[in-house]
Amino acid sequence: MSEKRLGMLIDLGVCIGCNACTVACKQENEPPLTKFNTWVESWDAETEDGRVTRANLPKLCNHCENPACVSVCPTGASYQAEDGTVQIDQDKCIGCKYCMAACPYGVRYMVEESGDVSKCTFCHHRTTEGLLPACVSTCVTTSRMFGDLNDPDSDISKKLAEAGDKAKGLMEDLGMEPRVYYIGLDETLAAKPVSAVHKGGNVIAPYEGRQ
Amino acid sequence: MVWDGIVAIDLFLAGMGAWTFIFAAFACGRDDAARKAKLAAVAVAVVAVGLGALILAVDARGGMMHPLRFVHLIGNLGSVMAWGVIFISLFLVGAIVCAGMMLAKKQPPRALEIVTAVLGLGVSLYTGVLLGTAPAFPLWSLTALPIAFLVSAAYTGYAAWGLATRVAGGGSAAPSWVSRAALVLPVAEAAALILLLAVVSGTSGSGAAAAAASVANLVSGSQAVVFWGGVVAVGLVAPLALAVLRQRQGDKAPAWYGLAEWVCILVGGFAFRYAVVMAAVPIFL
Ligand code: SF4
Ligand code: SF4
Repeated sequence: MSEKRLGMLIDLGVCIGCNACTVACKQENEPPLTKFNTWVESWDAETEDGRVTRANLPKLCNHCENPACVSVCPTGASYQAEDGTVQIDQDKCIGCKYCMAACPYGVRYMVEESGDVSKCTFCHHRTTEGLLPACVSTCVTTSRMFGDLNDPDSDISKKLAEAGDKAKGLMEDLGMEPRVYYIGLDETLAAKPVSAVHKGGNVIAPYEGRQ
Repeated sequence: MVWDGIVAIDLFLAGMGAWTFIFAAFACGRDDAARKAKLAAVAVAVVAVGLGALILAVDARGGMMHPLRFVHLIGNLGSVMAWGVIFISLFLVGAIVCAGMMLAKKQPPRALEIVTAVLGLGVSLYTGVLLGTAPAFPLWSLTALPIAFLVSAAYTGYAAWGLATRVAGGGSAAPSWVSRAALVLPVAEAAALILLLAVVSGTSGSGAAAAAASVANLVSGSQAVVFWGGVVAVGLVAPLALAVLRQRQGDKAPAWYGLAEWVCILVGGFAFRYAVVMAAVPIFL
């Protein structure tokens, strides 16, 4: 277990949906207009006791252990780096979009100007210099935690151990083995949505239940 | 929308072209009288598969803008697309050599025809497996879609072969299994469609909602007209009826029955690829 395995843990109990992470990522990575490497999906949700709360679900590439995007990529442009993260070698990418059709999390996008595909790198250019990803270092509530999942002494490993079964990845049944974990995911997804789902102020899933 | 109608054209041309060759190799005679008709069918196969590959390449924006990146095209042999590239390239080489020999008034060696036909089978299987290995779209079931695309490719190959040989003036009479194929393939395709809808409707877990929305798009939503009108009515019911009529009436059947049957099959085959690509709803928002 000496190899590095970078991962993220997002505590939904303290995420306030402020989108500071979204903005920090935009500044740091400059994805094209209308594209995001990380974003927050937010909606109003009714809890079992009848209260209405705001549900916030930050999303990004899960840097999966068993990533469909890497196995389908014909050129090998999508690959798993030594630190376990999933990266794209843009110089090899032909823009066939097979990876975009394979990733069930919808985190990849086409960069129209260059014709290749891009996504969150876990701020590879920062982490290799010992810095945290921009979204993590900017998070105002320290909801996002980042580190080496293979190092039992890292903060993220300790918090994951403490959380036990409560820490889960998105759609684990699909078998990608996501390495972005959430605390409070079941509660967030179980609460009944009573509004549209928003992403950066835009509606991405309209509310069907309106009277 | 990740992939769109352009990919549907590519999938259709690849499957249709590959099976046009297979029909040419096994249903055309090997005598001199049949050579012209067979050459026409092989030419259709080469043009269709070649055009499909070209469209795929043009649609790959990064590769078009930086052509040198195509040298990596088979960089990951675990990728179905890399295998598709290999099958298509070798198939085209085999089919072009066959066509060249026929142009030089020689019969291609049987072994070459058989190897090229097997590569064609690979090409047509690849089209379904390509979509089947994209887990973001539950409609593209790895269990059911490759079979449905394979049968449809065989059916459209039969039609293109029929049209090409007819236009080239016929040649020797087709073997009796071809008339049976005209009846069996649409029935098999209908069964494969039912299997596809059943398997996808049975999707559970995280893909369930997207699977249900995709099936709804096909049978009653955005693609319902293409599905019921194009795939089922024009693509299966009409050509099957024409084939039955044609075979009942024997020599008395008007010539346009065959032409109409083949055109319907081709329209239906493309409608099927188009509907399956366009009706697919991704798991993500
Ligand atoms: S989230 Fe998608 S893009 Fe990221 S590693 Fe997993 S499958 Fe690949
Ligand atoms: S678009 Fe690029 S990264 Fe994605 S599968 Fe194709 S070559 Fe690989």
